[in-house]
Amino acid sequence: MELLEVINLKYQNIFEDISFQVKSGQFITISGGNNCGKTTLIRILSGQLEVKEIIKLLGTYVEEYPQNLWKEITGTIIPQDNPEFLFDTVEEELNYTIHLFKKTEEEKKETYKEIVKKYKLTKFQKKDPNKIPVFIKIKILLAEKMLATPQILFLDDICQELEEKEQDEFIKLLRTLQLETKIAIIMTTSDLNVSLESDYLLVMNDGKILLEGGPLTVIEKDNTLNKIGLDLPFMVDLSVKLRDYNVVDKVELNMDRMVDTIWK
Amino acid sequence: MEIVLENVKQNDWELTTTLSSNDMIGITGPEYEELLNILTLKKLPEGKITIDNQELTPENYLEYYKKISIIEKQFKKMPYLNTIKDHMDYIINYYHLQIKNIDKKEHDSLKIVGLDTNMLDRNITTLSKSEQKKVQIAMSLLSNPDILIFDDLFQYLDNKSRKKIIMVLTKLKEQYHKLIIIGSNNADMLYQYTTKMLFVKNKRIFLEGATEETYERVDYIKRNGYKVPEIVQFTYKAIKKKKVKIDYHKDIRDIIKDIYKHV
Repeated sequence: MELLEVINLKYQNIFEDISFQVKSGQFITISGGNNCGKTTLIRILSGQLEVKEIIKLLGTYVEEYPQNLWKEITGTIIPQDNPEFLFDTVEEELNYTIHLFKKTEEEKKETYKEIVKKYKLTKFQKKDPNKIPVFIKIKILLAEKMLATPQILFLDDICQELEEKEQDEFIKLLRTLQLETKIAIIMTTSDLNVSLESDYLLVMNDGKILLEGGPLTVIEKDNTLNKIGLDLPFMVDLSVKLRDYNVVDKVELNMDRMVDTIWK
Repeated sequence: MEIVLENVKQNDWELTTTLSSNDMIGITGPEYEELLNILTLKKLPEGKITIDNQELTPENYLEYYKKISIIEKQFKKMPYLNTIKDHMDYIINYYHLQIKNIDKKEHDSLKIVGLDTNMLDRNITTLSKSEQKKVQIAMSLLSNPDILIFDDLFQYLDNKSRKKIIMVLTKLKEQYHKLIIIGSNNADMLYQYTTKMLFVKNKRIFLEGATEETYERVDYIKRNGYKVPEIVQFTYKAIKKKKVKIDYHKDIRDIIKDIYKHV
């Protein structure tokens, strides 16, 4: 059975017909041009915007489960909402959240140590969490969400806020969490480079799913994606265009291998 | 429009350069935001600054400060103001802008950046990030600034919006001689859309010149910790590894043609 199903989502004049399924442990990216409804979709999935008979969890509509269950099994990060941290240091902030989920002092200390290591927060422990770089804030938010052991993460275009190196670190972190906890991740992205790292890609346009499938298969549809405002990753764009000229026969993401293939 | 900075000093920065509206200017580097801040002339730095042959003095620099608009990375919603119109009216009042037909000016500013004029009454918080970015640009156009400074113009804009905005900026530069300065660390976008680059590091300009020429110094750029645009990186590898005679291009279609000729 699917972990999550979105069935024929219609919402205001933003969505006309959106349907998709998510399996446990799957990493799905959802992309689209400006104003295709990426943030609205995350708000709907996370329960901030109410819909009925649209979202099923393990075969049952979410509204039929006890209240608050949805919040317990999901974690949502929408950078645009810019949450304020309550404490003066990253250490205090994390320890407060740890205190809500762990009982013994030993467990709390161990959890804190693990988080600092896994999320690479060592340098920031004594810093004011409201005055640190965006990436560190996002990592703290993620660590706090993960303490509640959610089954699904909803992330809204986080990579758009990050520098390239930070994006790589963030995706690696998500992959580690996915492997360790079998968590399902649904992340919107306006950067198709990011979607190459996911298991499945959905592209939305005009309130509907325009394309879906394995990221590489979807991203090869260069004309369709360009028309809706999305840039192709450079190596995909190059491969697809060279294939049209019969210079290469498949998409090559590695630049050195591409050079070697063209000029043997 | 031309700004000449000679031995300008502020907050440990030391600058000598010329910025002209003949170019679309890009600034990159870990501290590029600090340089953008100096260029806004909130404070008159030490050294000599001339704008269109007029030297700035403590007496006259505020006149120039008013003609500079900085478009920040993120929209900063004003407390107690909600809609786009609220924010535009505030700008008009705050800067005592002499505008005959305010409604028309506000509508026109939105239209220029590709936004629907019936959005004026939308609450800022309901706008997407790309819409907020376009509203920021529309707001900056209200005061008809001579110098527009963008902190990461490209963030949040998809390729359709980006092309539209670049078209607007090109028109402002070419027809109205506005000086356009874009700070960003997105090498691919800077290579694509600027004509002159300033690479900053350790509070100095350590490399400046025509965009193509600077970015094509691949080893030097890389050694100093900057990202090389992918399109440049690919051509560089082909030339270096395979000794093929292809040229650097900004448009991927030109690279394809070049490759086709040389395989």
